Amino acid sequence: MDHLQFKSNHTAAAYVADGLDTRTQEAFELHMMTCSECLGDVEIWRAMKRTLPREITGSGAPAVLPRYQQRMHRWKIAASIAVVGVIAAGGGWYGRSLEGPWADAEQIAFFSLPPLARGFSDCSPVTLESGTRLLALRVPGAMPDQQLVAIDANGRDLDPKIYSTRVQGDASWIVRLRSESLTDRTIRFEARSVDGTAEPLGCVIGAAHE
Amino acid sequence: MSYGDPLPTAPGTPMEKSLDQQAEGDSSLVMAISQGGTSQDQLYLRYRRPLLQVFLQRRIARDVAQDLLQRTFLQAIKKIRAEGLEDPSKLGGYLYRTACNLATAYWRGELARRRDMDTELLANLRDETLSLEERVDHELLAKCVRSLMMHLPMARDREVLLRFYINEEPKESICRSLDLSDLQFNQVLWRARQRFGEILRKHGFSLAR
Repeated sequence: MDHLQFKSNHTAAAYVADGLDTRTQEAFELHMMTCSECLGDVEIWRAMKRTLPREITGSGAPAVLPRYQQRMHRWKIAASIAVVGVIAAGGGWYGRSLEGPWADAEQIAFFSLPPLARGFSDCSPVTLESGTRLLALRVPGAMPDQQLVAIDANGRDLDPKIYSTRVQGDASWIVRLRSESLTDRTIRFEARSVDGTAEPLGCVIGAAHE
Repeated sequence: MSYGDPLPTAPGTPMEKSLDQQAEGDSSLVMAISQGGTSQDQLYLRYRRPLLQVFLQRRIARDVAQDLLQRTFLQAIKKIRAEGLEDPSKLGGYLYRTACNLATAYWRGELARRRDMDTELLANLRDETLSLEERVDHELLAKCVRSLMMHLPMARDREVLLRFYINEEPKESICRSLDLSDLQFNQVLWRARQRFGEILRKHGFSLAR
């Protein structure tokens, strides 16, 4: 593909939106190495993507709510995530949990990773109350032929004995993890494909028990 | 340098270069680096911005990307000085592959993290090597984007941008649900890009294109 094709296809915009297939992305990146115009476009689109408001009102202006409404709004979002997480995790988890040593629901904490927090630098803190022995973590973004792997802060694969994963119908993984595995440490997740590529799917940091 | 200006090349050379000229420039740069001196500055000037985008595209945090950029250039300079490049005219391709390999190694946890150089190094960089986001204050950029969202003529355009960039929804799915043709979708992107350029220009960032 040449420069005109990249321009007419708005490849820079699609590139930043992660909308290119592997081959086109590689061709475009090689082109970008020497094309200042496409590089400029990519920088503009990335700046726009990074600063786009997360929501808009009907009039087009970014939603600016009064502070108390913002708090309520955040609570609603948090509650929704928690409910979705619990339902999704519970569905895929129920049968196996009954077989496990900790069938007591009070000893299980459910947590759902946000769908857009995929970078390892974007770690979600998880506070486990004392008595929690098991963490059920929902990780969105499951793709066919991928395997979810947990790794530590140094990039080493965790011992598969301390966690297990399974894919759910809503294209997410449920990770079952012993709570002590997360105490004061970072656990990252990546989806590995059969072709050897790996995609980061976020991470969690264990906070001190309350 | 203003945004949208062509990638900096050796002083005095035309801004628009043909592929042959680019290859020739790469070959001379490789030769100059292999002979020592400070030619690596030119290497940095020419390739830092595109390589930074390669790292950011792989969801590597900005501070880590600075580290990986350093490693990419150091690795290239060492190789050029020790054994040379098989095809010096493909220096850009070599740097690109090196960056891709380092990004993969980073995600696999095969690289020890270095934090010592980031801030100071960034402060000492020449202006031309900085990306748009490194040069423009984040708050100002956010203000420009808010302005863009308010001035896009159709609610549909705003929805397209949010779904494409924030929700990372595939283009085909957006087109299907909003009953947009491929051309109409591209027009939305084009309008947004043009508007954003105008807004940045109003804030003093020239887009000489």
